[in-house]
Amino acid sequence: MNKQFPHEKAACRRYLFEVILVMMCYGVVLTVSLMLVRTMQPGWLRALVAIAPVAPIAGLFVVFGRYYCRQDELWRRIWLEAVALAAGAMTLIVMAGGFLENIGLPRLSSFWTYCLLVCLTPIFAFILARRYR
Amino acid sequence: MKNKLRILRAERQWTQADLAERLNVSRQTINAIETEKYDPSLPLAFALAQIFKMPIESIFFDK
Repeated sequence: MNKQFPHEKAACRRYLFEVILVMMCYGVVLTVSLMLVRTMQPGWLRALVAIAPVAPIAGLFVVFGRYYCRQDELWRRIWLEAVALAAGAMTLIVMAGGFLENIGLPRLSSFWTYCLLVCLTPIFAFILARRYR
Repeated sequence: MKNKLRILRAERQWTQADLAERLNVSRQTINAIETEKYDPSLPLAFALAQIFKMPIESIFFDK
């Protein structure tokens, strides 16, 4: 079993706390943004309100970055390799999806590419980490 | 790159976790270095040399 040191446990707890906080902000901003854009007239202000949920997502990247910086060098390498592999896998999946559109697959929003990257990265990190056990 | 980290650690009766704590890295990192699956960075190699009070080339050497 992998023993976690107190500072590693604290880093995990801090990371989870920050992710939950940012996601709660995202939920609030998204809800308010969706409510407002329905009532607003077309224009730059409406566009600004529509893209407002991007701000908490940027916060999520900051949280990822802070977590990455708290890791030791082996784990930084694992995460970097995982992101690279996830990007490669995401490209293959998106390309395959694009070609499947030629035979009738419904067109998916580009929003899903981000979700794919976020989901695939920890999966690859888990697989890569097994190499060093 | 080969190393004799496991021997040096055993001589001092330290566990991988003990050494990891001294270096402020994960136990997995120490295990990966000992099993030669991972070559440490220069700063980490220097930190190891300092802990074992030996020159780097006495701990790490070519295959």
